[in-house]
Amino acid sequence: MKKKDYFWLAYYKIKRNKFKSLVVILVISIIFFGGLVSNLIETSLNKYQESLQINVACRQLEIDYNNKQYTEEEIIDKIGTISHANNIEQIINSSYMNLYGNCDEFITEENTGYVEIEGTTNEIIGNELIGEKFHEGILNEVIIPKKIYATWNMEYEIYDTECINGENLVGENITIRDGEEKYIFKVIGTYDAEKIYNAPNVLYVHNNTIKNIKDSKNQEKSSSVVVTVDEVENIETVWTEIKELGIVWRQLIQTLVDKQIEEEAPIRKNIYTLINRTTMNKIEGIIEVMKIVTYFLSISIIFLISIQKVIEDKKEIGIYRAIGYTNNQILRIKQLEILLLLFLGIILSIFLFIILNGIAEWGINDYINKEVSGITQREIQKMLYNVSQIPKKIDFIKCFYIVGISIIIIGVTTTITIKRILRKEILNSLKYCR
Amino acid sequence: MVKIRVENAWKEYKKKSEIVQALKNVNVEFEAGKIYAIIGRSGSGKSTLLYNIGLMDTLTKGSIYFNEKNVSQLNDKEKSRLRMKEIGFIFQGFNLNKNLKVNENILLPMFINEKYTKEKRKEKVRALLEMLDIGDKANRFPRELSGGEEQRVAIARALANEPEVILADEPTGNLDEENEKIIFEILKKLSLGGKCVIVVSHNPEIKEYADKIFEMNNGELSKNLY
Repeated sequence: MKKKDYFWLAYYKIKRNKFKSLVVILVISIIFFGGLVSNLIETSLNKYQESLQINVACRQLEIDYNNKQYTEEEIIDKIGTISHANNIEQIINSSYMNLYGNCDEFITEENTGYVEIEGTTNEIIGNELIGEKFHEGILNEVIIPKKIYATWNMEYEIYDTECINGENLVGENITIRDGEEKYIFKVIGTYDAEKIYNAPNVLYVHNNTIKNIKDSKNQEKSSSVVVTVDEVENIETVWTEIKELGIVWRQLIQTLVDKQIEEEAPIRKNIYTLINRTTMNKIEGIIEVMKIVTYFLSISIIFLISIQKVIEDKKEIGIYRAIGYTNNQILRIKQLEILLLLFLGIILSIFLFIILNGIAEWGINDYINKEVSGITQREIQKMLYNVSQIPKKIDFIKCFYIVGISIIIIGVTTTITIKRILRKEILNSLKYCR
Repeated sequence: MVKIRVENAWKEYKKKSEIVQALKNVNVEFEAGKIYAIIGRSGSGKSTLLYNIGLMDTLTKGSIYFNEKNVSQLNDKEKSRLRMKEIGFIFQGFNLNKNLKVNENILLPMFINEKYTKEKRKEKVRALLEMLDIGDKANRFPRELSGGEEQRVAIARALANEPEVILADEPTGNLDEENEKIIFEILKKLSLGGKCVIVVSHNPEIKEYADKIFEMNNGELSKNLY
């Protein structure tokens, strides 16, 4: 039997049972439509949060201040005078802050940083150290730890016994190798790195304003605040105004997407969102329920449709059998019929979905608050409800899972049901009167 | 020229906890060019015998031979093929596909017969419709036909692949007297044309047309009554 003959039989069965077929197509389309909607909401929400997080994170400036000089309230008051700066939040116990806090002798204006050294004693002896440069624009004078260890474990403060005496290198040139690049520095002094929290092998690079090295016993010399700027365009303005306040100490970490403090960015990821966390949790909860219900319903309904279509066609199956069709041929005809209905249902659901998306874009615009967290209405629209971005918002792979599962269910269910009918019920369906 | 032999045929069904013996040691032969009638009460096993001859069912014990070939041992695919080529079924309820037109119903068996090209199919359908005097009904649906016309379409469908054997299960059960006669005459013509026609019927009219009559009683086939 030719493929087109299978298709012809399935097609004419559907065409000549318009009402029944339409009902089945509508049911399938509603189920898949529900799936598409929940998929859209979920994916859009994730994309939205992602954009929001990046949008927010790049507007968050982390500022160091000397906590001996200023209290938190004073800092917040001072920053509060700056326009475009919102949501001031303090961070305490930052390991990096402690690091800087123990080196208050570094009174630098700008461009200071540090390098964590990894190396072997061979390389140290050769005046070449392997490190990772954290900042650009490094100048050519350094102070180095009094003792530089060959290997160390920062977390557990384990020191290898091998070390070199840093004081022997004062006045010498050392090379710091960062990947393929090499930087030559002159050693102008040493410091006691073991007293600095978590930083035994840290090499300080600084400019010419360093005076003397003193041991520092105070672990919390500095603190940090995070300031959120209302718009990306205002970041430079806010930074300039903060500098003019004269409260910045040592280093301004520009934004939370800066590579240096990437680990800290997740801490702040969920703080600033358009919808507050409680509501977001509720929405996510509803979406999860929607997804489960939709998937369960679509699978159940496909299962029931497959069985019902075979059972109601018992006589037809019997006729095929009587005129010489094999079991496989009969299976293929019935499966093709149901697959065709499934396919038409999916097409209809996509069509309904496109209409809904258009209505949502038009309707929701009027209800979104323009000023929440500084996200403009324009940006919200762009992120969530832009019709031209629909393909990017639907996770088609997830959608294909459910279509794939449906096809498998159709295949398995029809096979089992038809075989059962052929075994037990076919003769009765043929024998009795019309 | 086909010859069918049923040898020591037994058929048992399980009904709840009971075993029902629908056929008990049936032995019978059928030849081409004759019309056979099998009569008996309801539940006597007539249709069971017919469907087993037509390979729609499987015997519990015994064998069926088509031209000395044991067809009971064939697998499902081979039985379907044999049914397609050699056997035509006619039912009491006509069993036409109500979603297909008359000509499409007749085409159904031809889809699985590779000897028919598209043009040959059309020709064959036309010929069958003419032979059975329903040429003007080609584009009608079964629901638009009378009982007699529907049964003639069913006969045309049964003849589509030029089978050697025609099995008819109460072919006139739903028809009036006039149409009964028409159908029996068609069946008689087919047997005279060389086909082996086996008819299960309650209708006493069959005696006028049958060459041999068998009676089924409680699963057992009695000898030739006529």
